[in-house]
Amino acid sequence: MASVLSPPLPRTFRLPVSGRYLGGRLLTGLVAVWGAITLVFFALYSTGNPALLLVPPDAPPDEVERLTRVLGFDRPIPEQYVTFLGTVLTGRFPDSIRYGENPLPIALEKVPASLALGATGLLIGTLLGGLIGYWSATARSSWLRRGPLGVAVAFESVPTFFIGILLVLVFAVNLGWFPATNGRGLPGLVLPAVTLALAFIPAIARVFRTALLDVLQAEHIRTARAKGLPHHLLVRRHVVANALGTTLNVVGIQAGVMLGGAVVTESVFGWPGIGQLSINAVQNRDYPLVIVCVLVIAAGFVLINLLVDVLAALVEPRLRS
Amino acid sequence: MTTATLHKGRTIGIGGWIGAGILTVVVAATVLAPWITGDPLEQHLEILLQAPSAAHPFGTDDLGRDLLTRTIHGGRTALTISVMSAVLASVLGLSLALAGALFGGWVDAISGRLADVQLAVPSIVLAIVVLSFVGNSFGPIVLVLVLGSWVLTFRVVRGHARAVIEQQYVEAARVAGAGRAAIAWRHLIPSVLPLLAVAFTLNASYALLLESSLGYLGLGVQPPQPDWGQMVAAGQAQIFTAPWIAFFPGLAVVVTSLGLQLLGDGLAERFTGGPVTRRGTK
Amino acid sequence: MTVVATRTETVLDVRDLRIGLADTPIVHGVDIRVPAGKSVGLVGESGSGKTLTALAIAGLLPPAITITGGTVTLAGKQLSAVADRHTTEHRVATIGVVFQNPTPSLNPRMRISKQLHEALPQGTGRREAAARIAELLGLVGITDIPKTLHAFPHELSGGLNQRVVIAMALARDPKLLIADEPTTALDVSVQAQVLDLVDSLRERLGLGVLLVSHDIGIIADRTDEVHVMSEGRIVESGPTADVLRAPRHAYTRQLLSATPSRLARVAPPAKAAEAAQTPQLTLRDLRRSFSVRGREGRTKHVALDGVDLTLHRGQAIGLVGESGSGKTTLARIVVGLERADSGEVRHDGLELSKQTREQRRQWRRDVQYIFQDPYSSLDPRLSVAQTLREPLELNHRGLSRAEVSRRIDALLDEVELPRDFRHRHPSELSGGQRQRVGIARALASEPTLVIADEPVSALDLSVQARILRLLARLRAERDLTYLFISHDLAVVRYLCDDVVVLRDGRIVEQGRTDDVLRNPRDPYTQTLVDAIPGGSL
Repeated sequence: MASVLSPPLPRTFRLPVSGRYLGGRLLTGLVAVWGAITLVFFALYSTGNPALLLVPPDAPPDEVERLTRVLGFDRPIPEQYVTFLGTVLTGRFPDSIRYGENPLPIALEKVPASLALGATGLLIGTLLGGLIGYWSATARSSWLRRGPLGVAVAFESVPTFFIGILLVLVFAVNLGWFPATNGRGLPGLVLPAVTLALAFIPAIARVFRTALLDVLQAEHIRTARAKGLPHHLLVRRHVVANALGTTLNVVGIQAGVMLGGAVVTESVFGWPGIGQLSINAVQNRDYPLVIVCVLVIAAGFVLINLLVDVLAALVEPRLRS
Repeated sequence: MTTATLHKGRTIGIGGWIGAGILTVVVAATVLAPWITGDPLEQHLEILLQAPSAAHPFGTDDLGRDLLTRTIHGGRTALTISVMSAVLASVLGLSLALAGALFGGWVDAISGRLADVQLAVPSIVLAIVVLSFVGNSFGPIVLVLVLGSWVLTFRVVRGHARAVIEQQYVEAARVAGAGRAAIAWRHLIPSVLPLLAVAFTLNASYALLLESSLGYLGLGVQPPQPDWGQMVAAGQAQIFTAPWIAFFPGLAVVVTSLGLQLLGDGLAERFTGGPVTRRGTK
Repeated sequence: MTVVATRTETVLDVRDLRIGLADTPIVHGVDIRVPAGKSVGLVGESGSGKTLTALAIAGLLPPAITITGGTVTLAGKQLSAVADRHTTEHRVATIGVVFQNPTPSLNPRMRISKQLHEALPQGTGRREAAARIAELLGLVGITDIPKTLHAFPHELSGGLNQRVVIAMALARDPKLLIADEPTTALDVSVQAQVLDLVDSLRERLGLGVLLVSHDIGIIADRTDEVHVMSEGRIVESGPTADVLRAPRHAYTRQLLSATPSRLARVAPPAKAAEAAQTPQLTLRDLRRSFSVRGREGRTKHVALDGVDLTLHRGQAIGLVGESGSGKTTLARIVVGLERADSGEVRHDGLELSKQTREQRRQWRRDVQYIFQDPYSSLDPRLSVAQTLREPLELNHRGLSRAEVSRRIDALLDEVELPRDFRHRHPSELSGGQRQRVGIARALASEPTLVIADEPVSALDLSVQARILRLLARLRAERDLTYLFISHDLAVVRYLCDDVVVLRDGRIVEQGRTDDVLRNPRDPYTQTLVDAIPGGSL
């Protein structure tokens, strides 16, 4: 932000967000990833001999025994835990049962498709949700204030998979505009992206509305009015900008729910992403692949949260210090 | 919102009554299912994939099973699991929130940290891990739903309980000689109870949505036992030829969830004078 | 006000201004004239409509409230009732507004420099703006200009933020400054500085000032003319000195007689003198600190830094200090709501931490507390009777229902509330009535020592006077010992024989109230005494 005084302060390079804040968030994220790894370990262990899950069902007993020894499942639990952590860190997972090779590259290969879907859905959802929230808090017409928000809120009662099914029924079955499943390219992206967007438009609209209404009540808005700022500047600089921080924070909290929505959406449309891969892996009992998918999703989740936190700190100076 | 005073003369509103009505019908139908419908597994190979008609209002599926019967029976699974999860989740959320507010200090810190952990592990990851490794029977499913949704109640109750505990009237009670039990009994619990009703309906609605999603993904209860989410997934294969198979069970989820949310909003209006903080809002 | 006052240009002329919420009138025809270079006061209690009047003139009414009649003429130009663009432009160019809460009045996520820049007339160039902003900040007495400009509001103190708000109000060279309770949210010593600043600006710039306040002391010191407002009407107007010396309207007289410095003191009870030999409460080297999360990570804030104090039976001690002086912490430790880090608290010779169960129970009954905020100190779900029943049941186990009920009646009588109030809920009581219930609750335990934390600061002046009289009467009737916490020296002078001045967790001065107020030895006490508004009353 350029100060009006020239020269304002000695210009030194400063991170927009303090390293301390960033470090704290990163640490929290690492703890979360570690938590996910531990969760997987104990879920695996609770089944008895995990080696049985990691080999094809028709594997001979000596193969099971070999794997048990190689992966150390006959060792005491703490040692197994360390071994498991080592496996995760080196990325040398047991072979996928279905594909017969290291599952990590298989999972990572699917990430770009998931990102494309997620980014498109997030973009549509944020724009529409933001617009609906903005109307519901500021519009003069009572129709514009209540109508779109009412529709959006009703969508909170519709599970994501059913939103997808309904869109397929209308736009693929009846109108035939878009492919129902296994679509590729832009036409194939439309229905999944809209489904994903619809899944979190209500939350964004509602939170943004609450934040806007809060800011509109704030005393500093009166000060800004006393300055005689033009209406559009008042709204942009003082109202919307101040509502963004709270909204982003809540979006961060919502990220887990959205992730669930993304996995479901990929399944509905057969979108070749990490979500569909993980569900298929579960259905095929391909446990090595399940483990990798879960860890990749958890890591992605942590990165998304980190990004949201940084953005929130950028728009909200009180968080920075 | 600092205090949940009873707003005299307020009712749960038209929306609240509609919600209550919907829920009454849905619950009555599912409870009475064995007496008012036939066997959901009964196959009639002569009436495969029939569109909705007077004899079969929701149509039939690819094994000739009546979809109305199956939808009603599917509700038994979905509602039992959701309600049980919501009850457990509410109790868990309520106890942790009250304990945190009453004892403060490390109790509060730990309960808050537990909520953070829940946020750090997305429900979908938890579901995949638990249900694929441990198996998808009744117990693990309820466990996943409880772990995935207790924070809803926790956050609503905790915010309120903390606000109450910081009120001067609670300090006044301490000065008047009240111990923790007396404060909880006289001031905290009466003020939290109305909010709990609201939190419970939201919790149940969320649990239902999650449960049906798990069913859809094949992580829920296994066929042939009917379940709404699972029925939608099964119907998706025939979506071009028999769209009703996927449509009606999904509609059942929407209607039930809508009923819960309407009732929740009505209760919130009645007890707190405004919609209570919802999913994800702080 | 000598040179400029010769010009008698009128900057604000309000005639028959009416304001309403939907169909309910709130302000019923108000006339105010503010000449250039003069300060005009608008005084009244909460709900009198004074703030709405000020906001209406500035064009800042909340959306639901509208001007329903009358005219506002600003610097010779009559404003249209409907806010069109020209009206708004004229208002913005002519009026500067200063609000009650400085920090919330600034945008929390914008640096001061940008907020000041916005306040300049539209289209001011960057270089020009920089010079003007520096000039404005100099004008309001801010010394470290670069640092202030670069700061966010939450990084500055309330007093500094109020200076920034004033600078913003001056940014467009207004002719009229509207100040709505500009110092109510500030500490006493800072209050005086801010009001001095407004005075000097008025003289230097020839501003007309409309000062809205509930504090008749501030009005007396700082205004040339005054309008007394009550229930949406101006009941009396005139030169401030005349109105306050010889008030004609009954309401003005009531307001004046309720001013703490004017309250007739009651002689301390005779028994107090003889009992004054027995120490009831002794504090020795009391220390307490909190860890605070601030900009530089966790820091230690020392609330109490070794306090020694003795309270004798029947004595009334006033504990005076500004926010952050540690006075509330001290009170909370004495009553057991908080623990000290070190040092000892002895009650009736027994150290608190070494009491037996029975002694502890006795101490719980003996020492009671009256809270500051009458709104949050009563459980909104409990009726008055239920609130009073709580200490009766907890502290006097085994009372019969009839006896409890009889005692509730007696308590209501004692605090001068009608007996049928027992069925009311707090939402059906006024602030003063709530505070009476709070006092009755403290009395229910039959205490000997009552600690009152700013018990009247949230109340209107006239209510405040009645509660103070009640407290004085109860002290005499029940032989109570008082530890009375206040930021208002005038209130302390009314109620307390002795005063203790606390600053940064240390006692800087103590002694007989009259001696300390007349002849303060510590420089800090001197500042506090000088800052008491109403010196010219």
